[in-house]
Amino acid sequence: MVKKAIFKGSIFLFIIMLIIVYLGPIFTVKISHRYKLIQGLYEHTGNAYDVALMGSSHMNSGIDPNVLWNEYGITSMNYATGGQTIDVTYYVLKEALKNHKFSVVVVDLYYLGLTGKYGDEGYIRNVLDNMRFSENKFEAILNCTPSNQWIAYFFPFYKYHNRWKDLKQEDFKPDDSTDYFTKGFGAGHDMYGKDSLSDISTTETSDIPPKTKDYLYKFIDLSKKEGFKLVFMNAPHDYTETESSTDWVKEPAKMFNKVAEISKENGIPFINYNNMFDEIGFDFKTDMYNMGHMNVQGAQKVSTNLGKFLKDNYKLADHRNDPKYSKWNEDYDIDAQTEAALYLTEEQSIKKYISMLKNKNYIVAVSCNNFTLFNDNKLLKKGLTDIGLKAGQSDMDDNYIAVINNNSVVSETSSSTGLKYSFTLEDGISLSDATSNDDTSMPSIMINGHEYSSGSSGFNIVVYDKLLNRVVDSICLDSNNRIKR
Amino acid sequence: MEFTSMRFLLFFPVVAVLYFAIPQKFRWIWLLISSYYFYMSWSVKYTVLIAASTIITYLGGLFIEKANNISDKKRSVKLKKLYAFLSIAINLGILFLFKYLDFFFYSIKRVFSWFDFSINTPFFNLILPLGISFYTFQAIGYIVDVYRGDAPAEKNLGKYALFISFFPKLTAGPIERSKDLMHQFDEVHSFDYDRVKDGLLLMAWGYFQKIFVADRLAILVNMVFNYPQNYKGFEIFIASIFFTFQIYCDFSGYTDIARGAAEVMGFNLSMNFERPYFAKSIKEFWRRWHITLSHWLRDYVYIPLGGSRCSKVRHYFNIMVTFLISGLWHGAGMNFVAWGGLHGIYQVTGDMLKPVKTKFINRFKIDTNQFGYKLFQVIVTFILVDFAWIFFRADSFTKAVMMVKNMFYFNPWIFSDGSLYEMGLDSKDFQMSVIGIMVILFINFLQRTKNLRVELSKQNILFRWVIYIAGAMLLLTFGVYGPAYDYQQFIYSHF
Repeated sequence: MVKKAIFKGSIFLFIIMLIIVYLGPIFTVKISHRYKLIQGLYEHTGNAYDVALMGSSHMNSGIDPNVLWNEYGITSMNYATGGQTIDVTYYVLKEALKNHKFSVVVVDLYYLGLTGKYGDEGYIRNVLDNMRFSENKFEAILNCTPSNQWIAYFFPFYKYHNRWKDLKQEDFKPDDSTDYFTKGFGAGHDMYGKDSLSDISTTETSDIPPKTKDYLYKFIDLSKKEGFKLVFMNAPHDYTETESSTDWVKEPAKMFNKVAEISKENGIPFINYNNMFDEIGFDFKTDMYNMGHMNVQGAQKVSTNLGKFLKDNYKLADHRNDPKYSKWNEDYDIDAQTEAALYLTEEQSIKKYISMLKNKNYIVAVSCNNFTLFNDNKLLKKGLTDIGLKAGQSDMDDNYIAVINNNSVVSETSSSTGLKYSFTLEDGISLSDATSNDDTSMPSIMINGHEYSSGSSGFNIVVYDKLLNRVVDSICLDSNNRIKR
Repeated sequence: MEFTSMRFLLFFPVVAVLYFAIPQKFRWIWLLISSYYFYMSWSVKYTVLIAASTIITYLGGLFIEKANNISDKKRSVKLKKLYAFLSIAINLGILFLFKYLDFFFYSIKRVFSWFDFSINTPFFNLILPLGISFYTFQAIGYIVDVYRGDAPAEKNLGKYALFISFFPKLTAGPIERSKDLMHQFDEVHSFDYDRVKDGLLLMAWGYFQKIFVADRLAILVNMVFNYPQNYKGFEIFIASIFFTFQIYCDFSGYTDIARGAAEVMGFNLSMNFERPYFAKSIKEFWRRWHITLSHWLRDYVYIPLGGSRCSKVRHYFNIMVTFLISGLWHGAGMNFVAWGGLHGIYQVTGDMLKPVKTKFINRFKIDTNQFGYKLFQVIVTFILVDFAWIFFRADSFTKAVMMVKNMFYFNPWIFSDGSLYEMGLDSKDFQMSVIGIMVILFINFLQRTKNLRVELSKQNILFRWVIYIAGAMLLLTFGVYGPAYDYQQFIYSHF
């Protein structure tokens, strides 16, 4: 009877566990960092990268693999995620090493300053929830999370079961190829606007917190064991950011001096970008997104410098002209176009906006039903001239339509009565442009059957990116030169 | 250690497996150790209280029995009364100290304030020891039973301590009698597959009631009752209905987990609920709701007061006293007194109006055996019980009165303008709450005529396993538990 109970009970529990394990990934929140981890750890294997970029958000927004590629032909992956503590980084690297053989591993050491035993649960979940079950994940859970959270890490279903009401198609069939062209990099465009208050003049040293220090040495040991070159870096940030934090070292500058000593003792380069602003032309005001993270412009500068360092100090092949790496060039182009599209959608000045439309990948459709209001608008007209439209030079009737493709004007017409034109452009892209000054539903700009125009009276522009295969922006300029989206 | 905590889900299997693994003569010791560990996981220092209550009533029992054997009857009765009084008084004293002292001083202050006297009274804010009302009542019941000669005094302190502290029923009952439970500690409970399975099924049903239904309903209930000034009309009406089912599923869920856990180990704990919302009168409701407390109050309060075998006035007085004590037992607050009082008034009024009702039925020739009439009775009883629960759940008597006043406001638009889903539960959770209530009512309905565990065991293995696995997954998926939740303690463990 006891045997029967054990047998049946075990089968029952086994089935339930099986279902729970199966449901775990479905119920887990699909945060944006998920995709880079899956791509970098499990999908693009087989020596896909020469360099691994590891760390927290400072690395995530600091080193752009596309810059390393474009300028030096170095293949790399940015594995960093927001709030990733140094112990978690260690296990991410170990997991990555199961499927990759990196020549160089660059580790950002911002989180070395954490004095608390554990990082923020949400941030750690960003990583561990998206790691497949393995010895590394097991060790990471035991070493990087408090014991009262272990069950929820081992069985994410326990934590996320309440998402039953939020499940979407992407939870069941996530597109793990999402944004792979970024290679894990992500930074904003805003500018911080303030100088750093860090005091970097000190030459004194202070201790590294015991736990993070252990992991610093674990990285060194791992590099020897696995045979990769290790580079430590410290991304630009304002050291005063953490001065009110209770679980952070009080004087990061001194701690990083200690890191420099340890690195030197172990023959490991330590690039502290906080001491190199002049050397790399880094302007904290304009190159930072906020006091802790670089913006795209700052990341470009630091990435360029790091790339040069890697190129000068390690035998890293330039793959740019290698046909096997042609996808890297395509990804670079998509990344550049995506960035350009982001800048376009953020732009509020019509002068700058029109200048940004000069892009060979853009189809620009214009539709206006009250152009006579814009005939005296010199700012607009100057811009239209620059992109080759006649409307920049001469007055037009109320109804105005223009289409530009590949920087060439495909059509430009003006009339006092309504207009409607349809075009079929390359790759079967259909475009219908219509306007009428006595129809309130006009102007209309339809691409591949979808309406993208705001439908408001004014100067409507819709921008379609042929490389990204999507409309990247739709605006309506009013007679006061205000851009409305 | 809550029944719904991960700790209990580890604790219970270990206790149960070892219980069967060790020789019979040590089993009660193992259960005693486990029960005290269970209690200490909540508070180590308050274990002293339960131990004190145990020792006092244990000695009280022995002394009463000893006094019983004294040949001088007069002296014997005198001593028995003294020992019983001392045992009960000390136990009630501890209960009073930890549960009612602040309420007592507050009430004095209020009374003085009516006469424009302002006095400063102390405020102790003592933490209410877990399950104190339950084990105190059980201990007092034991003393009275020994005093009356209904039960022998237990000689073994350890076994008596287990009777008081047996972990499945420790925090919220059932309130057991020594003659029903004590002998079970000496019985040999061998491992019986079907009994263990039945016990686990009962526990699973308890978990469903608690984490699928009660804890979901609690989200809306807490929102409305914690901020009653923000709600009116149907919002309060819905919250009161939700609380009516929350408290039932919470307490019945606890009891089923307790009874199921005991059953796994071969113990039979008393029934505490028998489909209470199918009751056709308030009197019947109390025969179906918290049955062991009702029996306790009947046997140790109502009947000693004279019960119904006295004048009408005295009978009504006895009912009112019993229900006011019941109200106070649930909590030290005017709202609990009002709740108890309301139930007393319901019964007294019901009795007083009985001739009118009979006349009305005869006059209009109403067939009282018809389904429609019975349904009408069930609905009226439900409404009365539901109304009283408002006083029970409200943070204070004043807030309860405010809610009752605000309830009479006609705002049917809340069902269409989306504000229904702004009371803490979004539309999907609200719908799941309603489904939960429906499932409870449906199962209760089936339980009228069938023992569902027996019915299930008659089905073939495939059907049974599909039910087990689907049930477990429904519970795990839609249950309100886990780190994302601020889990709800069992309501009755506060009493």
